[in-house]
Amino acid sequence: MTPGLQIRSLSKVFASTGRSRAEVAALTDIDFDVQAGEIYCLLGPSGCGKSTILNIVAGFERMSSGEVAVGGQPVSGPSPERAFVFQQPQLFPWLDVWENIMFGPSVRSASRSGARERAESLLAATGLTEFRHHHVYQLSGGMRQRVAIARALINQPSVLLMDEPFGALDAQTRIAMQELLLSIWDRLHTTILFITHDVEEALFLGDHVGVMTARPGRMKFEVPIPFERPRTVETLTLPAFVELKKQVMVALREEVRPGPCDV
Amino acid sequence: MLDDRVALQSTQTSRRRGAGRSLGSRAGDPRYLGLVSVAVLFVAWYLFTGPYHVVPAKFLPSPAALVKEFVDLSRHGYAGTPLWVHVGASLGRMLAGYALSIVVAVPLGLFMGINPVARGLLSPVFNILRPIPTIALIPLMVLWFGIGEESKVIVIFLASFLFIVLNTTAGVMTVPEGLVRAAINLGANRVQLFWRVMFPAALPSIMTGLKTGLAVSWAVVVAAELLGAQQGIGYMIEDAATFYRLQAVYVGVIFIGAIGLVMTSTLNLIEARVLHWAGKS
Repeated sequence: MTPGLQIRSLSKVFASTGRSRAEVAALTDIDFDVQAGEIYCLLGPSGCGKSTILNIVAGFERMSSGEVAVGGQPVSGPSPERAFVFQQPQLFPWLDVWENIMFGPSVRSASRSGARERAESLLAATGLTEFRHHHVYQLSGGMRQRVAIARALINQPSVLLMDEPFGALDAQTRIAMQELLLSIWDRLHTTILFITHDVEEALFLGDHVGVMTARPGRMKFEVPIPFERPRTVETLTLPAFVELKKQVMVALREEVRPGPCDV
Repeated sequence: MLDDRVALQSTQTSRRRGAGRSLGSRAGDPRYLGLVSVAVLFVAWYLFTGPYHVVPAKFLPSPAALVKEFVDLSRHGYAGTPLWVHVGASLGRMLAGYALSIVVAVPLGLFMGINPVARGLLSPVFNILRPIPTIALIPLMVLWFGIGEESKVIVIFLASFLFIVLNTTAGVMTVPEGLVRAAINLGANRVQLFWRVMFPAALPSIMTGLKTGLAVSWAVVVAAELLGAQQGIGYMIEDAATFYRLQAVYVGVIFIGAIGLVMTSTLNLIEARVLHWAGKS
């Protein structure tokens, strides 16, 4: 089995801009593996640095120390190999749906015919076939994020990095998007690193869930998620699911409870 | 699929609503309101200058007198020069200065947007120059470039230049970081990032600069033509005022307004067509 994504003793320190000149530790000694073809959900309280991990893997930010490798190769700088889906869709508003999806292949001058075929099947998979000529501002929030997912996947990345992609959607749309993501993943088996602060979302999507501590972010623990796929809305109400959700929530509560120093 | 249905329903609702209140909604439409106020102005103008003689003709001629003056000017020209030559002279200067401004200001603004050194060097200079009204520079331009075409074109150029530069720079600098990251992540190199993301993203702001620049350029044409021009609408207005040909003055003023309106509407039309996404989210 080809290696997926390895993160070894990753640390990130932000130089302070204030007068104190103290450095701020954002991430300390992060270690985890994402197996090729699995969905790994990273769960943590806000401000724990989980987005920073994603930005480092994507090559948007530099790490202070540690190693990040994808497919056995250390990462350096941004690459379409590590496709990113942002919290906001970040579509290009002057392009229509089709042109947004084809942006990657057109800038990389990749094979056009192959890209067109992939775009067609991604349009179908995301339910956007009839909307190919629509402009971004004519789409709902959920549809925009579907375009963003298709635009990222057309580059055939070895890892898909998702930064709370459904966080800005309403509850019903969010569940629909989670099911849609699982159905696409079921076909492509792309390795996914998925950031969220929603316990239910992490347990519903993930093969593994890594739980982080509050700042400075460390890995608190990692749980394998045993529920069978395909998972559906019914999975959310299984007694075992509810029990696991409770345990994770209790663990997270310790992190968000204000400590004596925070008061 | 759900989205489809919702969209369909809302169109039907609005159509039904439109049918039910067609009279009321038409009266509430700002465009119709505009027509109403223009019509009221015309009627008032006609009544006060014609039948009732509230305003003496030496201040404001009647519409009929202006139409007659317009016909006369079209037939015989003004000061031995056909009317269309005056109009053409003003338009020519304006378009030359404005085009020159676009050609220089847009590339410079784009460069300042992506290059912090250029921005750091030039921004303070532009900020010092910005509050100076272009009209105040007219005597200087005459001193430097004489009273020929050059000084006029340069004044018109200066009037729109800063608006276009500053809006272009602002447009590049306010490109959302997320769009830049998305493009890089999808594989765009630096050149592609600029031409396929930064530039289109800056276009709405550039357009704002072009529209403001157009308005101020056209406004200073008249002022520039006060500098010993022998043709142009500004010259005609100035000369006619000197000889107290009030009706010709009014015809000139109306021409300036009408041409300005046509040019602004043309830009608005281009904006609506090309920058269809601007202002929508």
